[in-house]
Amino acid sequence: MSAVNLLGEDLFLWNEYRTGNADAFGALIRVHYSDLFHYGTRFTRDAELVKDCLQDLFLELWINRETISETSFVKYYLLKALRRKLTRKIGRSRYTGSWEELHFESLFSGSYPVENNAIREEGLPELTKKMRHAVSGLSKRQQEVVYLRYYVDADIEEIAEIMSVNRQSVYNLLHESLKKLKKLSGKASRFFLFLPLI
Amino acid sequence: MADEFNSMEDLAFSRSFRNWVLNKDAAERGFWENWIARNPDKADLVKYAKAMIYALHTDTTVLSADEIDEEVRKALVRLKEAPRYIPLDGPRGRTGWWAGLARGRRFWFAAAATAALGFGGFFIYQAHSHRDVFRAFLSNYKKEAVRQEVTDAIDDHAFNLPDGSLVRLGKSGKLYFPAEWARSPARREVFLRGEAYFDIRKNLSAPFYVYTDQVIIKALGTSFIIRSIPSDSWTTITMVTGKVSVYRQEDFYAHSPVGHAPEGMILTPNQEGVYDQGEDRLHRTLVGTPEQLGVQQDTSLCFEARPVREVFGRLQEMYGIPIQYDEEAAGCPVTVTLGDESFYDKLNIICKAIRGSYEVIDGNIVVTMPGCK
Repeated sequence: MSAVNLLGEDLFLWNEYRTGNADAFGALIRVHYSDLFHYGTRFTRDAELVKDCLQDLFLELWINRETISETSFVKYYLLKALRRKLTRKIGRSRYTGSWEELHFESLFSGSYPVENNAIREEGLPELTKKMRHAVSGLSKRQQEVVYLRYYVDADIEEIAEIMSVNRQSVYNLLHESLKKLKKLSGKASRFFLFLPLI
Repeated sequence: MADEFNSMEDLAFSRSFRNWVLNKDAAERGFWENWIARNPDKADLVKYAKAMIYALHTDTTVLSADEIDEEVRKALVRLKEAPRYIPLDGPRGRTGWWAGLARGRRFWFAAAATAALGFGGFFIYQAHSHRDVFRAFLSNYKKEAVRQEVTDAIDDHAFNLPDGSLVRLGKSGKLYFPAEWARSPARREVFLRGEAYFDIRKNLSAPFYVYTDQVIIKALGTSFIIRSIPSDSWTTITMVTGKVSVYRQEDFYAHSPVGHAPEGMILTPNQEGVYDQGEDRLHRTLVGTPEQLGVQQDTSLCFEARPVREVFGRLQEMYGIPIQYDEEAAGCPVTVTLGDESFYDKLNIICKAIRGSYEVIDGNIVVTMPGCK
């Protein structure tokens, strides 16, 4: 989804942005835009709403640049800020007016590429179907953790930061999710039971 | 290298493996085909990891590079037109309509309201027992921009104020402060609704004031927690380090002679101030579990036939909590060993040794003891 190791460049751009360099800020949001957009559209199908939220987020970041802290995890900072923003925009219950937990909605709902040539391997289409079924059986929070781990390459600590929960809960959510995905068939679970012995 | 991939997720979460699965012509191809040939025992792992990758595949809107460029351009245009502060959108509720009025029209609105209400309006205002501190705070910054930090119901948020002080704003909190602080301001001021931890950067020439709906707190360089929830009829101030003064509105806004500070209550570490709106009074007490000041050192303390005064002196030093006792008995020798017990457990140990007792009065420990022997 995005280039792998941008830490050094990210940090440089971030620090430049904090001193008021608009070009650096532009470069920074260019680098992270597609990840942010993709993550945002996990919470709502309304792509325009996500774009608007991002525009507002960028503006706020710009205005507050002098008071924004130094961070070595720019991308995760941005993801967290977007999540916060989306919560404010769409997380408010229409009925009670109170804030609700943001729901990770349309995760992994795309049609899976079974027809794809790449997946012609024996048994793989069936396994993929089962896996997809298992994924959709995960709780919203479990799905979000898997998503952040898979698509954003975030580690436990970074996921905890983005979702504003503690590390232990992230660890548990991820562990439970993977356990469910591995339990697809009797064969699979037996196979994985022996894994630690290898 | 091969040892690093021992589970389905090791493979599925590897960007390189994923690239190869989704794009057979990826640069990683050689490596993975080789790896699989060398690790026939992991064929099942590979299969499951592939299934996981396909299952996690999403085909939602992917923006083209042009579309992203367009969004970035839009953002940069907006930056140029950006105001230098976030306009105060006014909290909903009693001040919302007021803050919402355009600044220029506010005066005429107030003037018209006064004219309409006449003296009746004046008396209504007086009868309202509490000043609107928020409005008073805002009126000080009519010309300057006021910024607000807001947290939602599931998140807290830590940030630095322009002077470098740290604030951790609790859930559903709001903090208002001038967008720009003078280089050497006469005073630093913020307005808080909700709960927040403050770590104030020391600046003796510019006292730091936290205004809340019920009380005003003045600090120099300290850290403390304020809990001022709009629906609560009380406000608490919990000291962590240093010293603050807490004022009731009435005392704070009372016309005091020049050079005289208003009458307030001083709080020191491990003390807690509670303002009760019903009684309109400030109380001072101790926090539930007093913490040792500074770095926890090796806390084992042995006193062998030392004067009680010395034991209490040490305890007071460790926790910053004033301990009062009868001077006549202060020289009595006592033998105690104190370890890493809590503050109150330490007190109990000492009191047992001197056959005394203690009470918490006004944020102090008051010890009663019978005298020597």
